[in-house]
Amino acid sequence: NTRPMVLSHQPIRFETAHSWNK
Amino acid sequence: MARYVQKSSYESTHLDNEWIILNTDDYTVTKLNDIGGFCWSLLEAEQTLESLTQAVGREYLETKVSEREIEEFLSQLMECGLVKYAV
Repeated sequence: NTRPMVLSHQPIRFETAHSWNK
Repeated sequence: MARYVQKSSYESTHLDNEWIILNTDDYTVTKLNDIGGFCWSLLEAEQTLESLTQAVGREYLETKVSEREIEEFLSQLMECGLVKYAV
């Protein structure tokens, strides 16, 4: 925590993302 | 002086000194460390490199964060689709 960092960035699997909306 | 702001008010949660942000436009999850999350929360309003650096300096007294490091972090957030230049 000595500087601001992006620790990870990843896409969500389509099936999971799809269920958010429908 | 460039100004930055969150692209949208995405859902975020703060757990164990890490911040998790759900981008519901691009369907991505981004994890930030504590200082990164602090910067993210400030970006709900428009910020400059200078204002962010000063705010981080006030909040984390024992940590020296340079404008260059903040700029690098903001570039990463822009690549992740979370931050944009304020118009």
